[in-house]
Amino acid sequence: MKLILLLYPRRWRERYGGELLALLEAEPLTWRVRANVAAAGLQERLHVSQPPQLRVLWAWSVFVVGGMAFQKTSEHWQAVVPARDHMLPTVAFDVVQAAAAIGSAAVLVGVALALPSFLLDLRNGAWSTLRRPILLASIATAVDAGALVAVALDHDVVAASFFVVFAVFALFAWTRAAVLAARRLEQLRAHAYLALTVATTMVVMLVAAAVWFASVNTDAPSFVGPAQLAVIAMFMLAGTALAAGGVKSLRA
Amino acid sequence: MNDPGLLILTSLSSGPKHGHALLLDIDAFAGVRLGPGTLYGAITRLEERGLIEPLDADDRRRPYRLTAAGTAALADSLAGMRRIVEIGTTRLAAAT
Repeated sequence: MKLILLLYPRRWRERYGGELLALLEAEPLTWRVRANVAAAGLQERLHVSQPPQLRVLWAWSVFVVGGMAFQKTSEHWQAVVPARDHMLPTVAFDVVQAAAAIGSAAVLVGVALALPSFLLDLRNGAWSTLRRPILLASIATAVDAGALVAVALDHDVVAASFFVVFAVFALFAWTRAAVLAARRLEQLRAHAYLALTVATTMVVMLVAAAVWFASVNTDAPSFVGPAQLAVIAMFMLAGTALAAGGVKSLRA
Repeated sequence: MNDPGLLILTSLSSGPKHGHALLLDIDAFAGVRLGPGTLYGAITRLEERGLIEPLDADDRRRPYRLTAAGTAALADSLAGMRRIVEIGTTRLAAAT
């Protein structure tokens, strides 16, 4: 049970962890109880420690993993769908790409708007706090680049797996570093609108990807395997749900 | 009627309680079995808003009690619910 408590933020554990453990020792430890504590821990980590705009940034990162899986899975779909049935999946695919471009642009604009304050914060001593998360993200990126070189040289499957794992790890590590840096800064009103834009693009992509899958699946039922579909759906749904929670808090 | 924060405030209105006592009391008067994570999430929010406050820990179990602000917030919520109950009851009686 102590492991599940790691899902909670450190400060929360220090304040309430002992009490919660004492309560859990008095309760039957069913899977439902474990799931409740795990979900509450994640919620605490996401909802307490971060402004809603930054929760949407986390949501975007989670969604991007599903988006990358979608991009890879959808390669060469035109070859398996008869030309006469191309229109719907083409439109859906284009919508996914357009929404991804708008969402990415909104994230970049948000980063650009925060950059002057971030540089000022660095000059005022923020580096001592941000050094570790930035170094961790840099190391993950370097390892991932190494795996990419190995894949390019001899198309090794193990290296390809390392590349994917470290790409996801690096994405989350950079998101964590960005969130830790942004938490120190004042949130601009523009960031709230950008967060809303990003969340909207995620909903649009989720719907368009579902339409694309349904239309391709009609002609080529085995084109997207169940494992690929599960990964895409899990990350896209989780990202959209996180973003919806962030937007709800933003409006509140 | 199953808002964890409101249930906790209602439970504490009869006196200070720690987590396990809160779960049992809420189950007894409302028939709602809160999960431990849900309970402590709500306790965190209530304490942040100054509606409840911790007392000295008894071993690892820390009792909580209502603050003056918590008592006022509970009274407001109950008054709002009472209005809804009255309106709903009146409209239902008129409709039947």
